[in-house]
Amino acid sequence: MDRRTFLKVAGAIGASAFLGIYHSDISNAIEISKTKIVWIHGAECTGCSESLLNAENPDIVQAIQKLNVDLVYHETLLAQQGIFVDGRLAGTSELNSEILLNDAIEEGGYILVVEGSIANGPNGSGKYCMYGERPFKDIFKKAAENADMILAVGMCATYGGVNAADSAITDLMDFRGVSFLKEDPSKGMLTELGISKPVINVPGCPAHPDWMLLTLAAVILGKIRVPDDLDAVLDKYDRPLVFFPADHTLHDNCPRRGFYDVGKLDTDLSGDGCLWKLGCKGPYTHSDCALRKWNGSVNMCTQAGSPCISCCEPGFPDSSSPFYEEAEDKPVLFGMNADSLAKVGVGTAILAGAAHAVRRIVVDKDDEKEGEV
Amino acid sequence: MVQENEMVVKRYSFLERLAHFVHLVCLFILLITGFKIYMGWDFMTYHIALVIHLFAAVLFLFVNWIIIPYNVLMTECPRCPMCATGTHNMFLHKISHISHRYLFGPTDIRRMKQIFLNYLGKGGYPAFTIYNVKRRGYIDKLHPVTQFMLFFEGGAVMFIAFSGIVLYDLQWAIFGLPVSEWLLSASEMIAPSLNMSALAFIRVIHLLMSYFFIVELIVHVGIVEFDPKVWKYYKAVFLTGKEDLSDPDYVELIDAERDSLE
Repeated sequence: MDRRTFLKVAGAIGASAFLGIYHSDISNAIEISKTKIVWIHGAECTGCSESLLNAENPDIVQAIQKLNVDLVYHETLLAQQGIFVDGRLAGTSELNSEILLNDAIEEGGYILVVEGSIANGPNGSGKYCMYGERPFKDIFKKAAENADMILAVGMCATYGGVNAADSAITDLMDFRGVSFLKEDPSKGMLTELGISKPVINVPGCPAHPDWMLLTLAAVILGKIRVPDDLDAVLDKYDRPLVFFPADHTLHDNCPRRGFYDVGKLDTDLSGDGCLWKLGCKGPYTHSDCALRKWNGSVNMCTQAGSPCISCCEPGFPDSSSPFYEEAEDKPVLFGMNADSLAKVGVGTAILAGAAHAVRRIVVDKDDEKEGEV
Repeated sequence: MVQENEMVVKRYSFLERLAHFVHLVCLFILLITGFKIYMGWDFMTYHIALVIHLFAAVLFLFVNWIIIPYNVLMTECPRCPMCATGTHNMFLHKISHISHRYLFGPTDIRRMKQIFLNYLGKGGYPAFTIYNVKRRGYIDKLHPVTQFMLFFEGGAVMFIAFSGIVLYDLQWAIFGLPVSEWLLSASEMIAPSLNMSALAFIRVIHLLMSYFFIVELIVHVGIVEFDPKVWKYYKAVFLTGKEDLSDPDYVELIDAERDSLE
């Protein structure tokens, strides 16, 4: 069994086990539902869905029940099946999830949740990410057009994420986020398709379950009126300010912050000091990870000893890689970083100053003596 | 010839000396506390270093953006014959004079060339203190290397101040103007091309400018001041503010003969 097949099987078993445990609850929730959600997956690892299943307060079932949500379609939670006969979908929506998705989209009036980036390549065809016989780009286009609003979850769907990271094939693959490509809103897939819809971005790799569920809850309960309130509650990257505060960074509330304050900056991963010199990007990351924490508010990356990799900033992963090197160590001019430039500058200045001083103090004195003679 | 006692003139006003001294002290404080914060030196806590750093930064900017421009604008400007006849505007003359005194220009390029040739043993070291005896005023005062560095120093002060504002407060605003947000937006235009976030780029700029001031200090002390014949200016800039023009090193007098005849 190859690695890819193994991962598929493992994912299916996990999802099946979850469905087995919560089958009746999910069924009940769906029956009394009112707000429809269509959750589609582009190019991604399903880590955000995995994160969603790890939600604790509320957990996924509580959220579906309390919020009266009709989870019409979810690529991994729903058992996937799709039959094409002679290139056409066969069966009914109950037997064929491809038809179920089509019907849901046709019906409209739902919140579209997008997980994963959208391939635009090659040459704008979107064929580098296919579902059945359809490019995901086409599925996204139809789903977006009929949606009331769009919630992009995870780095891939929000800003392109690892799919859009710099590489030899980045331009060819041309992966896009829903409304952004990295920091650039003009290259989001919605702009590419000429669709205008309100979007909320919940980045992260993966997105924190609270960020996803509480944002959905706020929208469903009318705490955030879409689109009227969006300007007030989102930052310029369309992230909810409450989770991604513009006025401070993760570093400000980091559990290791005290070590930074007293100047204990670790230089290896085994210490208990501040991880800044190990490449921690906490000082550049706007998120409430250090307050909210992960895994049921038990722990978080820096607390566990791993430098923050800034996985919810639009430029991720390029803007924060190499993950274990300081941001100040990146090349800024002529392939040199700030420290190297400083060494060259200081070295040149010392040499020039010394040469000038020798000429003025030693040689000039000799010239004067010769003149006197 | 002019009389000996008339040769001692005021080179730096009290305000100029004060500005230079405060600039120097603040620069040292800023570098030490800044690198304490960046390197994690353990001789004081982050909070104390930050408070001292901020205090020194405000003073540094006050001197650089208020006192020094005031001093420059108040630069004494010897009237030229054209001013006397009213054939050109006094204001334009003053601007032209100030530009010549503080901006690196063709005269300074010639002097730099002379310095280089002098280094190779061809010709003398150029005079950079040019004084018009008849009209009792400096035409030029600064070493060409200092004038060369002035432009970059002005830029460095601006960059380190603006980047410092963002690092101090990510949402700093004044009179309702979201200065930090504007600066972050400006940073965003460049940062992605260096694979950095806007905030990280601003931090790198702050660090780079700190290094610039170290380089500038080395150049200022090493090239300009590390010369026994220039040490007379230490006394002038730190203590007396006066210069004896009868000391011929690096001094050139203009209109001295004609002055004595009038």
